[in-house]
Amino acid sequence: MAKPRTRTGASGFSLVEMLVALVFTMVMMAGMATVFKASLSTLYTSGEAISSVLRNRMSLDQLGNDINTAEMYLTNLTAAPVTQTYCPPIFILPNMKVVQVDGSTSTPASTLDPSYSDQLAFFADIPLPFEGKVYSGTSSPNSANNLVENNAAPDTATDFTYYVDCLTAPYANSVKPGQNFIFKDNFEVGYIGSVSQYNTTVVKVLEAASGTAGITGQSNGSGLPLKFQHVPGAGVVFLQPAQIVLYQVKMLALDPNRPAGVPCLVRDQYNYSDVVAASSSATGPSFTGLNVTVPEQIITENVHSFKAYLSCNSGQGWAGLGFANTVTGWAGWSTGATGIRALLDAQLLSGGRAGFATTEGNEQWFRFIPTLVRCDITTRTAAQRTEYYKANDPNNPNNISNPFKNLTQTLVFMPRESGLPMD
Amino acid sequence: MRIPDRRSPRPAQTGAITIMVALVLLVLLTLAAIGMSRNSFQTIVNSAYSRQGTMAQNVSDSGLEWSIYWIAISNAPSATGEALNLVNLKNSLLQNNISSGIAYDVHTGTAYTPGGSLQTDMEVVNTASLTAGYTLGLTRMGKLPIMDMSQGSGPGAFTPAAGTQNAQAPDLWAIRSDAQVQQGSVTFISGKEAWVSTPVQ
Repeated sequence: MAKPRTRTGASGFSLVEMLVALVFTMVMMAGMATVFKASLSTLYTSGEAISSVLRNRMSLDQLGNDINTAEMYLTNLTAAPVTQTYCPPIFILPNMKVVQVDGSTSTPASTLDPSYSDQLAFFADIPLPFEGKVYSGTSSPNSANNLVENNAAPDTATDFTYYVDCLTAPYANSVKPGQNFIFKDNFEVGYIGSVSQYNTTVVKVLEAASGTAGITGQSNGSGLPLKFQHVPGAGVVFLQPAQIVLYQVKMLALDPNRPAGVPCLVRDQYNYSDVVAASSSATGPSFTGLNVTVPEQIITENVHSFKAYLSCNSGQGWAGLGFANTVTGWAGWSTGATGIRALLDAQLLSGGRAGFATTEGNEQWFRFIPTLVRCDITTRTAAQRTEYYKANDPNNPNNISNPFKNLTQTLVFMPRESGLPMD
Repeated sequence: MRIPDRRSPRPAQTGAITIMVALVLLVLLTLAAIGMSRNSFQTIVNSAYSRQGTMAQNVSDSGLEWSIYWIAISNAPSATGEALNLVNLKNSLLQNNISSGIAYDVHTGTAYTPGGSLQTDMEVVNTASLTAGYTLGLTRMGKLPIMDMSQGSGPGAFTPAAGTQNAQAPDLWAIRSDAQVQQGSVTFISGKEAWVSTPVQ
């Protein structure tokens, strides 16, 4: 006879036990899911925030290095260039409308994107990022050895061709007509009328009367570099004379998912002569004549605002117009008691370099009066998140509910050329 | 007839599955932890790169400031070590016109190439984990092309009212400072150049 099967307590769980275990497991899983979600959120948000901080810091570093060259006049070391009052060598245009993807300054489609930002511009001779050498592979210019031992004829004073070794092909290709070159053995400046390749790294430069002499004061004709005064191997610096550098926030079409564009801090470089030609005393500077040899540089992406301030009294006061100020553009720089220029003059009445009570009357005041520059850059996270949401965010210039996390960092420094008079 | 007890192997199988599930979970958790730590690690690396890059820029600035101080005539008498090398190099370049236009190493006095060994006087930081310093190249650029001006005060002052330009005009120098920040096997570099004039000696 078959033995009947009996169940023992250790052989399995009852339905009730299983249900209780399931309920406990689900409660635990729900708790763990919440913790997991929170940790994932922390991971992503902290990563985005750190990325925003790094972008901000990087842009400040680049900006600082660039502004250090403000009013750096390499073409003429002892006399300032001729600049116009309506396009001075350094200025801030406050609360300018942000240029949109289509090139217009219309109001952005989304209130989350910046609609106003400052523009900072300064004049400088911009050197190319390399130093060449007077080439020794040709008979011109003659070396002392060639002149003495081989009895070679000296170069004539009317020969204005120079061979310069630029060390690499990309550097050689960056040498263009309209640039200046400076000999470092005996300071002389030449203007490049035409340029051709001698070989992949050596350029043949033909000097000509300066096309920017009216601005830089560069000698025209009588003071051209004389070849026989320079020796092979001497350093040669190339530079773009009379440039005006502009920093501003622009919407750029970088992300297909954002047709309105991504707000970026960009650096544009213009020929000063072209900007002056398009400018007027009534409307101020008009930025045309982009230097086509220098592409627009994106300093950093996802910049929500850029504000610039100047101080002539060691930072005791800052001349700049906040977002709440309705004065914009050229009027914000130059007009009456409300302009930034007037704020600087007010600082000079009680502080600043002795003997300077105003910035008026000398457009090179920045070279005479030590001036601090302050830049406030607000970057935002690349992504919108509910974790970032802040109602009426005071850090958002539009003062609206903000689904981005904004971060503002400030750079304060004194550019190298400021307070360094030329006489 | 003895009916075989099929339940007896089950506890052993259940244990094996439990171990397998536990192992799989542990592996997944480990992978997740590694993934998170990689992100954190990358962030730390990026931050360190940014910091050391900025340090390299600041160290090259220090090299310029150091040079500007010691190239000044009034400071030369108290120069020692590398500062004295700079003063001596400056004086020797002034005696030799054909040396103009070419950068000379302040330490060796020979043609300058960035990236040379760091000298004690020119080290800003020297610890077991971090070394930061600069090398310097000095170029004589001839005379400052000026007219109708005066410069300086005291023994080095001049006015162009008398004498020739060679005797009167300030000397122009290019000082190149190349910073090296070495941490482990990684070296961050930054180069800067300043043009400085000194009153005629």
